Amino acid sequence: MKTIGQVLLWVGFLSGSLATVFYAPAEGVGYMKAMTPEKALEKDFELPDLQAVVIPEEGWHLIPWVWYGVSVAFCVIGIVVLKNAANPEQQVEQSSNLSLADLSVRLTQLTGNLEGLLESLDDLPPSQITARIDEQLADDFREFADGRNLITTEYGLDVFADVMTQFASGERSVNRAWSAAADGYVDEAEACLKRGRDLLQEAHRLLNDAAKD
Amino acid sequence: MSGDSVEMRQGELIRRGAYPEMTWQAIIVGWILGALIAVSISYAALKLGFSIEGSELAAILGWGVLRGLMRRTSILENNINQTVASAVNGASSGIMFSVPALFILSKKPELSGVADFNVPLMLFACIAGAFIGLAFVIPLRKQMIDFQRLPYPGGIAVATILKSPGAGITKAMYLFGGAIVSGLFFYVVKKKLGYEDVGVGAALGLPPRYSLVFYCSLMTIGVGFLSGKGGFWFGAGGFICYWLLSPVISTFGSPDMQGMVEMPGVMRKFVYKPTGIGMLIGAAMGGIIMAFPLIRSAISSMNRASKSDSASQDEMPIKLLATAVVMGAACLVFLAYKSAPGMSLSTALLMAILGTVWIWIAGVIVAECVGRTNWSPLSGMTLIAVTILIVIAVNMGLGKTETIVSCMVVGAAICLAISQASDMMLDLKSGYLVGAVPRRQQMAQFVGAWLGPCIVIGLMFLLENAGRPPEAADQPVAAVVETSQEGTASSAEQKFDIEKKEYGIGSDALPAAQASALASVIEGLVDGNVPSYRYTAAGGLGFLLAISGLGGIGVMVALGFYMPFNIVLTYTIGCVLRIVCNKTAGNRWAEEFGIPIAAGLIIGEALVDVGFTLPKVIEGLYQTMMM
Repeated sequence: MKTIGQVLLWVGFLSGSLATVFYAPAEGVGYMKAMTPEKALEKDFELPDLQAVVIPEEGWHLIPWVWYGVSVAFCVIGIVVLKNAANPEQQVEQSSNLSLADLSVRLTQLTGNLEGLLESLDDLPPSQITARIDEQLADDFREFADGRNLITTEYGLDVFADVMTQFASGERSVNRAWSAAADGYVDEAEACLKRGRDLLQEAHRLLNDAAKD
Repeated sequence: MSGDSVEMRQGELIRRGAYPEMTWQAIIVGWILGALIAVSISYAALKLGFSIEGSELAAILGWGVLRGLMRRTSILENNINQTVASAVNGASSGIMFSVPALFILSKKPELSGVADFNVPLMLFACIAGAFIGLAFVIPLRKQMIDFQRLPYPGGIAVATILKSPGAGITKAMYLFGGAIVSGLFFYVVKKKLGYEDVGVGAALGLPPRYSLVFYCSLMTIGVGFLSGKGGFWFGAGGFICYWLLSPVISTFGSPDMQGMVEMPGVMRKFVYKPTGIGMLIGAAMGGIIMAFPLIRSAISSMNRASKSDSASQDEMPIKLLATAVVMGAACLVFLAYKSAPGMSLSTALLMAILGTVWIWIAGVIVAECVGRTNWSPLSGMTLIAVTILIVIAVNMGLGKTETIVSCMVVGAAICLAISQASDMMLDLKSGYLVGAVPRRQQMAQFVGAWLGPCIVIGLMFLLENAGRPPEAADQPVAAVVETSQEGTASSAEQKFDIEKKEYGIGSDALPAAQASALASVIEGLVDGNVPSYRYTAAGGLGFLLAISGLGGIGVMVALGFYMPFNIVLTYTIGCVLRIVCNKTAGNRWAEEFGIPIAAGLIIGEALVDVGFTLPKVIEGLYQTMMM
């Protein structure tokens, strides 16, 4: 059914696009006829950017509305079929191989790695802090973000918004720790890593609470 | 040094104390760099007809000034500097593509009064518009950056520059290597050999309708790389036009259309571009409807967070949005009411309400387009704003001059709002990647946004009046212009001729191509000419794509219709390279090394382009002042 929906949508869209552009505006034809073929191939013939969007005539007859309407109907049917046929979880899983459990694991790994980094922070020179952030955290951040739409599918937009608010703030805080470490401000780096850990833990808690509910 | 104290740890310098971010040094350097960039880019916009994004330049110059000269040591401080500078520069494209149209229109005797607009009111309109745009994107930041995670290729490039001091020598080498290659390519291929495009289609014997011409720009490949597979639908829009619709029309279309598809430039200008604009509007409206639950959740989440936890400390208060909507609409009512004599309160009210709604819609369109592809349809959105306003004013019975002046005053406010909104989203993406606090960055944008209109409007009047002959000083502008409608041009060509002024904006010295185009559009609109039929048909299709549930493709496909196909093709190379890199070398490699190289490609071309523009700007300004 999903394939049928896609086919109907795109057949309708392409047919509607063709109907929209099928007939020439008189102004465009006039301009075209005023040019030699050689001039048409030159770059200099280009009109100023906005000028050509004005076509000084009433052009409603240039759109074959019956054809256009049928195309739109195809699109609408395609969308309805897609909406009915789509299994949202499958849709998300196509763009990411993660499950909800995997998302939880990513958050556990992120908070665990941040904890580890914080424990050894006093012994690390700034360049090692940035290197550890890149090596130990970047993949988990990316993979959680890739699978984030699963949260919407399973728990709805409000939970998604709450979890992603904490997650994004946590990721941004870790990014700030990277910048601070790169500039040598180790106190700021430590404070940001702690804050990032807390925010990611909060994201994890919200995700777990949603699962319990 | 900025830190309170300095010590060594395992041979590396560490600093104790507060990490500098929103400092006076960053703001003042941002103002100065922003003013310099705004003057240069505004002049370039009048002279050459295009604008340049200032964030990358500001980040690099800020790097040199703050780190090199002032010995400052903070990535985030430089981020604030580039945010302030790009906010100042945001006025250059916003104003120079719109307001000069009034000077150009004033060449016509019956419209000579349009140049006598209320300057303080115009300045207020531009500043108010900029602030309204900034306030409107507060919830969009969360939606587009935190939730949707749009790539914002330009933002990634700026963040890569900002982070380069700490990214390690290898990444820095990739960044600068990419910049050198791109800069050299631009210099040799474009400037020395004069190649703008490579016509592969002609070499392969393909008919012109396929428009298989690649834009010679490594920067565009870099942008495509940073967009990755997310940019696929942008390319698809272009391919639908030139590889599907054009061939079908060439077989089944009328003789006129069969002729037109063999001139892809004409086809784009008269058919695909208006279709793309209509589709963009429809897709944006559909996108807003689809995204509304997410925006509502974002606002609710911000409200909940503000009562409970630390994540909210980073955000501007959401109440500011509500206040801005009310204040913005009130400002627009005031601006519209005061902009022209004879303006009724009901007309002003209607213009303000629709203007406010349009700022929101266009802000979403431009923020999403910049977020996904790095290209902004600002000119198209300005056109629609002016169209809406003119339709209202004409139907409410305003005179021609009053219509044009009032629509340009309110239109300038809307244009600035859209311009600042997209610039701010781009800067917020850079900020996200370096860990800046959004609230501080938003404040920095407000701190910079007021200065740009003052500088750019001042420059505009300077250039308009510099070189005015003494004997013309007391004459109306229309009396000292010459027309170029004589001669042997065909009637079709005559319609597109722009009358030339002897001096100032609109003269040969300062052709102001974008504003000239807008001026001719305004003339057409006042006479009731607009391709609303094509906007309507295309808008319906864009709307359907947007509500199809295939996230974000409506705007992307529409942008593919709107943009020149040579750019789409080259951009697609970058997208394909990213997909291949991800598949073969892995996501990690693509992010660790591919992104610095791609960012370098963007930076190199931009800097060399600016390098070529700057002497012309200085020379031109000098000559204009001496005339």
